[in-house]
Amino acid sequence: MMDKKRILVVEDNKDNLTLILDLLESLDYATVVAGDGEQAMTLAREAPPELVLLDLSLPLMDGWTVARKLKDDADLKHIPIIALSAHAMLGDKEKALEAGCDDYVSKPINIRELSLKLAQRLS
Amino acid sequence: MQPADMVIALWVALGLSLAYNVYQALKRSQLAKRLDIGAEQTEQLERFRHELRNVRSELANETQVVETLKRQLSEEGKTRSTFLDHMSYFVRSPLNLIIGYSDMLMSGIYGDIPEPQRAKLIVIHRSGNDLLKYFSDMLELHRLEIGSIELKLRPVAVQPLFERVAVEGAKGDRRGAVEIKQDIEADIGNLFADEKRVEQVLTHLVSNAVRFTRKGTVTLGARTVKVKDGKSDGFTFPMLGWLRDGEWIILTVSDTGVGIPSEAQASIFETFYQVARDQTDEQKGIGLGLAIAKRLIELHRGVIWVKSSEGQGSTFFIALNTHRNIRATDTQERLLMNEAKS
Repeated sequence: MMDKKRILVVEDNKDNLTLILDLLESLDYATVVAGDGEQAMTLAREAPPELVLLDLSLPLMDGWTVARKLKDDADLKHIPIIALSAHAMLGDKEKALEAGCDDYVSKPINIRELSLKLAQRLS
Repeated sequence: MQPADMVIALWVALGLSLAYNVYQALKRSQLAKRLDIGAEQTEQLERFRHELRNVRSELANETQVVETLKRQLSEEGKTRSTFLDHMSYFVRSPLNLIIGYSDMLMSGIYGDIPEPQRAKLIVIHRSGNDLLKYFSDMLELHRLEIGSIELKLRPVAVQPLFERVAVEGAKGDRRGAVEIKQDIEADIGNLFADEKRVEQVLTHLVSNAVRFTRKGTVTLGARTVKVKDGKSDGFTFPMLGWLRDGEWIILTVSDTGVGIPSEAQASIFETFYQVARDQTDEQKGIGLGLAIAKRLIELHRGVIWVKSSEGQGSTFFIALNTHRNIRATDTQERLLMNEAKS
């Protein structure tokens, strides 16, 4: 049996986190969780995941900074990042892509949209 | 020479000299008068100069006051938009959970949902989405009203814009009974506009048109019009007087739907306006979309209006600046806009 793909989920809100973890589990992905930006960097360096699902408003270090740092690291920059944000404002997507995120999903998370994007990035 | 002749000659000479003297005196007095006037005028000129200096220094003071006010206003605007950003975040987060979890439950991730419960979940999900849309629209309208939305003006090509709008606008057509057509004038120039905002307005108009056209056609049109002294070449419309001289692009969204009653046409761009008629839930909006559209177009210094007759469809018109026009006549304004942006 093939190993499950590992996704690092960076999200500080417990309810949001449960929702995302439930979805990822149902899609048969393995998950690692970071509650803030600094922890996300530590975990990513310890054991690089296959994808990062990154909330943008985070304590200690915001999502844009995390994205920039991951893409500045020669060992980690190949990992695809999908940004998640409740700021569904015009221009927010551009800001996330500028920071180095590979894709963007706005909250409320559309199950079909996120499943599709995960499958694309992890195939 | 006879003595009598000499007397006459003497008289003539005397007369001539007298006349000459009188003439000279008259001339002197006129000159003096003119000189007097000259002096008066000089004095007046001095007074004007003095006043001008006063006005100038007053104006400089006023300018300073205006600058200070402008700074204060923009700081106040920033504080207010930070407040709105926070409020927005704290409303959206729980709403996103309501929508997200009801969606997940319906998808069967947590096990099969029996039909009666499923129907209630659909209502929760739809209501959550409606509330989110309502909240976002309110927030956007408020931002437009306090002037905290800034346009990113750049050249925009019409054709690709229409392609995206047609795809996005067709999403509400569940029965697939509405055809979306495009009618673009050949060699049309670029718009000078905020692409995302114009796309937002057009998408709203097309979705509306699709909703109110049960079966038929929605046409996206674009043509150029030259306006001079409040007149245009072969295209008349009620708002012509509002447009400055130059080249404009008129974008249109026409449908073959139910139309808008004439008494309602003046009010549809007002906040919360709903055309009073029997509507299915699907057709009901919250009445903010057109108010937002109007403000966004006016922020572009453009004009939006509607022509419709009941039962025979509606056409929405949007007049926007062309890139050519901006380059030719509007450099100053563009510079100001750029300045305001930075």
